[in-house]
Amino acid sequence: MLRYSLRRIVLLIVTLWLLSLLIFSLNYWYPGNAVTNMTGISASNPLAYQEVYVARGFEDGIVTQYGEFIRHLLQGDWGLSLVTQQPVFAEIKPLLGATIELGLLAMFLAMVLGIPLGVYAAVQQRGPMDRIVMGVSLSAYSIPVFWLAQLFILLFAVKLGWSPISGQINPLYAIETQTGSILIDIWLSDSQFKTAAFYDALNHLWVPVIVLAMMPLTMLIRIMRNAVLDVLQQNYIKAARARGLSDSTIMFRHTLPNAMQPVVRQLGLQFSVLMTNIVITEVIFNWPGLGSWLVKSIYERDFPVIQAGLLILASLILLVNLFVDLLHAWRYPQVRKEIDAE
Amino acid sequence: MQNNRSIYYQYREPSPLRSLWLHMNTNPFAVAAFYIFSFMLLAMILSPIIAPYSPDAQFSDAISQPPAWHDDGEIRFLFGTDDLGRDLLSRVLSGAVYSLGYPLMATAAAAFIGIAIGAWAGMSRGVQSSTLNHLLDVVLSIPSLLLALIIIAILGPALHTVMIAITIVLIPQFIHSVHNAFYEERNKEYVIASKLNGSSRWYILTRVIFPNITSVVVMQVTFALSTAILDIAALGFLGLGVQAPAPEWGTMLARSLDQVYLLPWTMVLPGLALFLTVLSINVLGDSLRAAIQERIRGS
Amino acid sequence: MFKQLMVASGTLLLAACGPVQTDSEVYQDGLVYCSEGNPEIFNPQLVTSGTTVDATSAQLYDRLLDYDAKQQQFVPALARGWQSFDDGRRYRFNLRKDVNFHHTDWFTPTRTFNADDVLFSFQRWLNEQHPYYPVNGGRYPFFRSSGLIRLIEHVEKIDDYTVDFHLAQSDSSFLANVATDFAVILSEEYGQQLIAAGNPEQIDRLPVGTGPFAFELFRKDFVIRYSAHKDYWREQPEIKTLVYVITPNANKRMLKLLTGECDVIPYPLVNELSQLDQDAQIEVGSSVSPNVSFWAFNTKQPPFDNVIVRRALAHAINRPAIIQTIYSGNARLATGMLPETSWAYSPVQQTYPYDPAKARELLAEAGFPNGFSMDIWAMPVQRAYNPNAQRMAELIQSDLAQVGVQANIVSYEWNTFRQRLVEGEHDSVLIGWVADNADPDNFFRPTLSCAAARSGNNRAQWCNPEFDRLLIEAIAESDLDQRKHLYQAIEDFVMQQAPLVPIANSLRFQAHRDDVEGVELPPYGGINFRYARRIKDAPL
Repeated sequence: MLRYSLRRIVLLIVTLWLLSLLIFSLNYWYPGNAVTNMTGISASNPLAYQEVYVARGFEDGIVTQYGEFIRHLLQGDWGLSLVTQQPVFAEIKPLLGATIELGLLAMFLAMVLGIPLGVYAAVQQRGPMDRIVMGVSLSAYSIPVFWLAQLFILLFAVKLGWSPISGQINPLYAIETQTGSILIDIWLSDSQFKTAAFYDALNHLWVPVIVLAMMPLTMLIRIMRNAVLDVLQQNYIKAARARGLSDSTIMFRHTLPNAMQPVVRQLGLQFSVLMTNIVITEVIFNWPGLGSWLVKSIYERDFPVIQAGLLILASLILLVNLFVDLLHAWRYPQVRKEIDAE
Repeated sequence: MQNNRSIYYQYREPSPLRSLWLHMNTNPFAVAAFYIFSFMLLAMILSPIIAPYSPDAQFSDAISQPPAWHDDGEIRFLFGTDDLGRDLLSRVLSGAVYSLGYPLMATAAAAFIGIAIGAWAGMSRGVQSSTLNHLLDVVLSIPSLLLALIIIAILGPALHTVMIAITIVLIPQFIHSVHNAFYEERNKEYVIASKLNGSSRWYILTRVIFPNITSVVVMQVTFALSTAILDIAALGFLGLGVQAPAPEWGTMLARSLDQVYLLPWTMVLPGLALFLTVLSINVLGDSLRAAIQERIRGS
Repeated sequence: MFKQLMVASGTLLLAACGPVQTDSEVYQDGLVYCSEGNPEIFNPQLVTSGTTVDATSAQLYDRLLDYDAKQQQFVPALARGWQSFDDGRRYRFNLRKDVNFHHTDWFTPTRTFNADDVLFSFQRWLNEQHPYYPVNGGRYPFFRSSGLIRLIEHVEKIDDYTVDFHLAQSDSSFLANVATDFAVILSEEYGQQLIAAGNPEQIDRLPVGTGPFAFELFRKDFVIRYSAHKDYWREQPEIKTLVYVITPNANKRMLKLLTGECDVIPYPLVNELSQLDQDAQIEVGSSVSPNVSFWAFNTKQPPFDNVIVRRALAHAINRPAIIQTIYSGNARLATGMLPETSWAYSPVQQTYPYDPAKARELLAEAGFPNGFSMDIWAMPVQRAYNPNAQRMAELIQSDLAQVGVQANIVSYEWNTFRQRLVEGEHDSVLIGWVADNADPDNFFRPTLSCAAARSGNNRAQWCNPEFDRLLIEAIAESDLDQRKHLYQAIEDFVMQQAPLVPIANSLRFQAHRDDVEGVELPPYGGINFRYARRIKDAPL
């Protein structure tokens, strides 16, 4: 396990290094001046420009520039936004909190619904319910997320009035943004309307969470169904049947724990899918997260922000993948051998 | 595989592709999806001929017409018109070129490049190959849309930059799956036998291994195609892809939101076209996957 | 592990679907205004954009005097009164006492408003040596293009509550310009503190003023929050919390008004107005707004430096169709820059009727028998004068295709868009103008003069000495009939040179929930929440 973990962490470090190289080179590929793209300080402000020009090593070669780039990156000096002229790094924390909150809730929902439904479909294999579950999940999987979000808004918010259209919370509740995650912020706040604010936030949350959970949910159903079917064909299940164990014991003690293996392996991939959709969902629901921040920065050609958004989202995905891989290897030792033997 | 009904018993093992086709024919959903997809393809190719009007033609006398089956609809505008008086049927049909044709092109280009690199990597061994594999694993974990967004941030939003972005983004998937497939096949007995026969590398690559991985490639193509369609539409929706007034479905959807209250059909139709296309491709891909699994289990 | 998750999410879902209690106190004392974009900065001196003015001018600040549109006269504000001396070349303002500045987390005022604040606020943009002159860009586009920067020679403090303005010449538009949303009064004491702290940029980002609302917080793209100014020198505003929710999408804004997430929205979609009107809970207000939308050509860029090309393009577009489609008839076809409501307006015949054949002829004459390709820049936001520039661009694009001109539609995020316009990167642009005051001069000087071309506000980048001469002649004239005559000559000149094609004069719309009243839309831009209040008995 240790060997595997080390190997995996080294791989992560190499990857992050490559990512930093990519982001460093982006500065030169974006239209405009590399110093400005890196720091957000334009040449029209000669004094400050000269200062960062020297500080970023632009008097020396490209290697020094890269070194300085990494140094500033690690120090948390990510430049200023070209639009607001405010430090980029300071903006990230609340955005990250909001994105993670939305993503985690959607992932939970997907797992909570997807795993039982997948098992159910497998048990009913080739039955009408199996067909229905699989058909619906395949259709739901094919709905473009932006269309789904709009349909949900029209249905739940406009037609039925069950939920607000967008945002995190009614802004009249003066909740101070600390972590970015609205539920935690409400809990931390000293507002006198905590309970009402909490309900209001939940009311804002459930539609985007369902929209976001849709795609991982449908994929989980399919993965789970196939995994259970695979496991049910194994000899040890037959052996368990032969020993006369009850159906429920076979299911819960023998089938499910083994069927979870491909699900856990796929969680990293599911998270990546989720992150793709979160970008679009945040834009539609005006969610103050990394995705909408990134898209707006692209509209505004705000290169320091684009870089920061890319770096954070990509690192988040890589870290989650690492975590899932380690969890997988820890939980299912047989996999480690396969990987190590390669 | 008892498909041979001739008097003389002569069993011929169907080729991997053919056996997939036979298997899929037994699944009514797959057949339906196949017909829907073919219909979409046909509509796209024939769109300049069958579209009743030009997608940009504005009929100032017929602004915001509902579809023909509505009481106020007119038969000359089957699906109604939008708020500038443009025929929606023509726009959806012409939009297929952007939303299906261009993704097909991007997929084809990406497949060509990706398969070439993947095959090369699959044939080589050692450090080179394992490094590539690890790298690809990582690149693939970053969502394609995110990468496309970054490429567009560099190049600016326009049709050709979207094409470049989507093609680049799809390539790693092809490399990855082709590489893995080669990796699995290359130490099988039949390949070794061919090697012992003294076949050249090129012959082994193209004539020995490749026919046996076509099914993987086909599956990857369907997957890449649905990704490409959704990504191009998503970029269009975000206003970072094909620019209006081009009748790209995602862009049309985004535009229709301004009138969604009064003209719901302008939102439903492009979305439905997108949904049906992606659904048919996904069903096809899904049944392909099932067929491949069946084949592996059967062998 | 999964079981716990299941339980946790289950409770979450249950909680979300349960009856949602709202704390009515929070809603009663607050007002949500869904604005269409981010303010660039919290000081209207630095910009001309309506979005910034809406968010700052009437809320955070006060001016020396205000313009009362109903009575068509200037009324006292921070100045209790004023007199003019020396044939209108010197104005004396007597200032109000006991006016408090905002008390905020970042500034505690130790004194009330006095002449130093007036001097500070005006010297900031008048005097290039002033320490605050270059802070945050230092462009002052309104004062530059309206000519106020050259008109005021200097400002003199007579005593703590008396200030004299010395003008270079008598100018009939001076008071009107001082009463605009841009001539706001900042706190001198705050400015000094920030200089001492070495952080002068903060003055426009964490603003302090005397207005009815104090700034609390701004999250770009999401929200601006104001709280009522407790020691306001006029009547206290009734609402305690004013929130601007930034909602650039017009459709989403309207839907949010329907669901009650917004109390007031600007620029509701004209197409759906009728729909909105049927809904009993929503009231749509319209006001006459002195505005004009136009299609300006970048006259520095060939082929638009050729007047024949400009005339050809003016003939090529079907403006009546645009009025029908884009404005749903809620606008008048513009015959010139001046709207019908201006006293200097005189009806003239339309000089560029829709005539594609003529357009093709003119293009051939200019040397483009096969047309050419050009960019149309379309605003990404709605403005009073143009509810949907993108669609208008699509209409124009198809009109131009008829005469062989291939047009590409270009758009950027709004603030980027305007920056690039100032730099003159465009071929042509669909934009417009809302007058800042009642003087007809305001329709020409800030939009088409050479000074405006230098400051970048002249969207046509058009600088014609003859035109500037006509403007000066008209502004120096004091006889109304004579002036009206002169402005007609100016209109004719613009029409003949066609640096831009006027398209429409539109009404300005605003929609609000029926339990809100008192939101004011002054005709010369801005929005005022000072008298806004919620009708208490209305069911929520």
